[in-house]
Amino acid sequence: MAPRNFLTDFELMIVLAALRGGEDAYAIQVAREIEATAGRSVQLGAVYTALKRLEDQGLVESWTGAPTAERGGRAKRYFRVTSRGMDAARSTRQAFVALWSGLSQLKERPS
Amino acid sequence: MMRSSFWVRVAVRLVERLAPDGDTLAGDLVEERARGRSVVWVWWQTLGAFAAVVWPSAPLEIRPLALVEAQPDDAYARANVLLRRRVEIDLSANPAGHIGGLGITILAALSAVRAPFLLWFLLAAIVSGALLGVMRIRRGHGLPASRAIVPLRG
Repeated sequence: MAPRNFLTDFELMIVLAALRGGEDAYAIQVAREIEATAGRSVQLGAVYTALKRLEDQGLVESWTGAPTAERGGRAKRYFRVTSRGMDAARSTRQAFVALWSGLSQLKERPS
Repeated sequence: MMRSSFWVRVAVRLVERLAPDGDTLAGDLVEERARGRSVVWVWWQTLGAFAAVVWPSAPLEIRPLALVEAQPDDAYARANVLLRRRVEIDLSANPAGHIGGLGITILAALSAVRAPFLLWFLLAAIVSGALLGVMRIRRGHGLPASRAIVPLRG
C-alpha cells in the first residue's frame, strides 16, 4: 500500500487517543479516551480495523502483552504511535488549520 | 429465564472464534463487562466486530483530505471516482455505519426467540425493507454526466 500523508478524522482521533494513553495504549483505552474527549461512542471492532490499517502503513506498532485474570486469561494487545504516525498527525493538523484559516463563517460566535 | 452472563458468554465465544483479533477483542469484552458494561453493549460490540468481517473496509473511503493530498492532474480523477463510488443505502436510520440493518435484524430475531409473536413483525419488516431497498437502488444508482468534474482548459 502506498504511504500517505494524511489521516482520516477517525484515524486522527485514534492516533491522538493512543498518544494520550502513553507507551502502553490498548484498544479499550483508546475507545474510552475518544468517548470521554470527543463524546462519541466507538465500536471496538472499528478501532481494531483502523489500528490494523495504521499498522500496515507503519504509523503504529503493536505487541501482545501477558494474559491477565481480569480478561479471562486473555492477553492485551498494546499499540504505540511511531514517528511516522506522529508526522502524519502533524501533517493532517497543518492541512486542517490551513483549510480553516480565513473562513469568517467558522469564527467563534459570542456566547 | 436465562441469565445475562449466558448471553455474554455466547457473545464472547462468537467473537473469539469469528472476529479478527478475536482473542484480544474477547478479552476486551470480558474486561469491560467486569467494569459494569451492559449485555446490550457487549452484543453491540459483537455485532460491530462481525460487521468488520463482512465489510473489512470500503474499496474507497471518503477521506476529508483525499483531494488535498492529490496532485493537481490526479485530483479530477479522484474527485470523479469519489462521486462515482458505490452507493450505500442505509435504511435503518442507525448512526453506526454498515451494521445498522444487520444488527437490528439479529436483535429482532433474538427477541423473536423469546416472544414468538414478534416473528411476524420481523418477517414483515424484512420483506418491506427489501422492497424499499430495491426501489431505492433502482432509482439511486449512477452519476449523471453533468455531475462529473472535468479540468478547465484555457
